[in-house]
Amino acid sequence: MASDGIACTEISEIPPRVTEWRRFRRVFFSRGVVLFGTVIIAFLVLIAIIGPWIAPYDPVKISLSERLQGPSGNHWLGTDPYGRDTLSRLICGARTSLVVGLLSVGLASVVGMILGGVAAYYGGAIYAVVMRLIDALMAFPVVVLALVIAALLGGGVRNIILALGISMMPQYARLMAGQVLSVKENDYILAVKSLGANDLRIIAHHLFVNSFSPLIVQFSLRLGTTILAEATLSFLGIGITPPTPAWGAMVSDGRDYLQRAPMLSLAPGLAIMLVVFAFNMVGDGLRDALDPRLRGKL
Amino acid sequence: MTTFIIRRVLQSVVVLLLVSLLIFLAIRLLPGDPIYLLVFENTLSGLGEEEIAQLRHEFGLDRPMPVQYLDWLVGVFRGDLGTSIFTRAPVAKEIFRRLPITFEIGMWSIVLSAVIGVPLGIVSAVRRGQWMDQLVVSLSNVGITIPVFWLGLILMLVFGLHLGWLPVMGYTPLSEDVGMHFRRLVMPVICSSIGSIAAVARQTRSSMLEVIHQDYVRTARAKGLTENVIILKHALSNGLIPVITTIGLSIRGIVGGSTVIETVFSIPGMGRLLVNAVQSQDYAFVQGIILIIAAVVVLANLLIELAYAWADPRIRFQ
Repeated sequence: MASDGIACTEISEIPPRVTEWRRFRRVFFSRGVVLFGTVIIAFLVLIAIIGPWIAPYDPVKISLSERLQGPSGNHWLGTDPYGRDTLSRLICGARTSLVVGLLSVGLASVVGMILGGVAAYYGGAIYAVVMRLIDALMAFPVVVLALVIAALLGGGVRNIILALGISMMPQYARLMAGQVLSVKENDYILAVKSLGANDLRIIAHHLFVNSFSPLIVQFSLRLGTTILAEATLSFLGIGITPPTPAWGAMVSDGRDYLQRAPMLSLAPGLAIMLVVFAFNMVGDGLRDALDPRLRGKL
Repeated sequence: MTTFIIRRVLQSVVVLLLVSLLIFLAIRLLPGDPIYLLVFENTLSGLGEEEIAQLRHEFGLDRPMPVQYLDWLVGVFRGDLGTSIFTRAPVAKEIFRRLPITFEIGMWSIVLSAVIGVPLGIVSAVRRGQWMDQLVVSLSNVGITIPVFWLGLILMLVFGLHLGWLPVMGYTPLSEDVGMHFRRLVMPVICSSIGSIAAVARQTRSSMLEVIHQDYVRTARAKGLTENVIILKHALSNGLIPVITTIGLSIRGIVGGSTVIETVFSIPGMGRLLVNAVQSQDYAFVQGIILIIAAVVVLANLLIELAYAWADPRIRFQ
C-alpha cells in the first residue's frame, strides 16, 4: 500500500501521533466522493444548527392565499397546499433528521455494544440467550419493527428515537459480540487479568477500546440507514407528528400534487438521498482509513 | 450435512418461538389497551363497565398472561391468528389473501437482483478501474441510498403521468388481465429490487476481485484457458458463494420495503395491510402480520444458509 510507504519514511522526522493523523487524513480524503460526503455532512450540521435563523419564512406558518405556488423569487422552492414555504420547511427538517438519526444510532450503539460485549465476554448461557434474542429481533425488517414499536409507543420525536434505536440495536450487539470474541483471546487480555483487573475494567478499558474502529465505521454507515428509516416512517405517517417539518412526511404530503407542484416531493426526497449518500461515503472512507481489512465486511 | 440441517432447523424453531413471545409481550405490555381503544372508538354507543368486562372476557383478555400466550400459540399452529377487534374479521384469512401479491413482487425482486446484479458485478470486477466499473460502482451507491418511496414517485411522475407508458398505480389480479397485471407490477418491482440489485452487484464485484487474484485462477490462466472460461467457470463458482448471503439478507429488506412500496402504488398486499393495521391500531392484525413476516424471514434465512452450506463444504464442518 502506498500510504504505508509514506508513513514509514516520515516516522524518523515527525512524532508518531502526527504521522498517524496524517496517514488517516491522506487515506480518508484520497477519494473524491468521501470529500464530497464530508462537505455535505458539514453543510447539514451547519443547517441543523443555524436553520431556524436563516430560514426565509416560518416553516409552520399557514398562508392559504399563497398555497401551491411554483418556484419564484419569494419562494425558491414554492409553497405547499397550506401555503408554507418549502425551502424553510426543508431547512428546518434538517435538524429533525440529524437529531433523530444521531440519537437513535447513539442509543442503538450504546445498548447494543453493552449487550453484545458483555454477552460475548462471559460466554456460556448468557451468550446463548442474548444471541437467540438478537436473532429473534433480527427476524423483523428494521422498518417493520420500528413501525410497530412506534405505533405501540405513539408518535413524537422521543418515541421515534426509541423505536429506531431498538430496531437498530441487534446489529450493533452482533457486531460487538463478534469483536469481543476475537479480541478477548489476545494475550494482553490475559495479562491484564493476571494483573488483577476486574471484569468491568477489562470490558470498558480493553475490549471496547480495541473494538473501536469497526464500531465507528458502523456508526457512520448506520446513521445514513437510520435517517432513511426515519424518513420512511414519517412518509408512512407513523413518524414525527405534524406540523414539525420532517423530510419523509414532506415527500408524502406532496404525493397528491405531483403534477401541479412536483418540487414538494422532489426537493425533500433529494435532500434525504444526498444525506444518506454522504454518510455512506464517509463511512466507507472511515473504514478505509481506520482499518482497510474491514473492506467487504462492513 | 444431516447434523448441520437438524441443528439449523432446531435453531430456527427456537428463534420463531422467541419471536412469538416477543410479539405477544410487546402487544400486551406496551401502552394502548385494545379494548379501551375499542371503547374509545365507540364512546357514543355508551358502553358501561359491565359491557367492557364482557368484551374483555369474550376476547380472553381477563385470563393470566401465560394462558393467553399458550392459547394464542396453539391457535397459530391451527392456522388461527385471531379476529380483528374492530371488524371481527378473521386475521389469517385476510393475510393469506394478500400474501401472494407481496410474495410475487418479492420473488421478481430477488430474481432481478440475481439476474441483473451478478452480471453487473462481474463486468465491474473484470474491468476494474475502467469507466464501466466506475459506472456500476456509482450506480450501486445510488441504488443503496435512494429512498424507494421517492423513487416510486419519480417513476410515477415520469412513466405514468408524463409519458403515459405505464399505469400510475393500483393492482390487477393475474386472472383478470394478464397484460395489465404485469404492466402494473413494473414500477413496484423496480422500486422493490433496486436496493438488492445494488447490494448484489457490490458484493459480486468485491468477492470476484478477491477470487481473481487467487493462485488457482493464475494456474487456469497459465494453462492457457480463455478469459471467459476462467471468469465464468473458475472464478465465478467460488466468487458467488458470498453473494448467496447477500441475496438472503436482502429478503429481509424486500419484505420490509413492501410496506412502503405497496403504500406508494396502492397495492393490496401484506405490507399495506400492516401499515393500515398500525394506523388504525388493530393489534390482532398487527401481531398476525408481523408473525408471518418474521416466519417468512426466518424460513428464507434457513434456506439460504442451507444453500450456502451445500455450496461451500467448509461451512458445514465448522
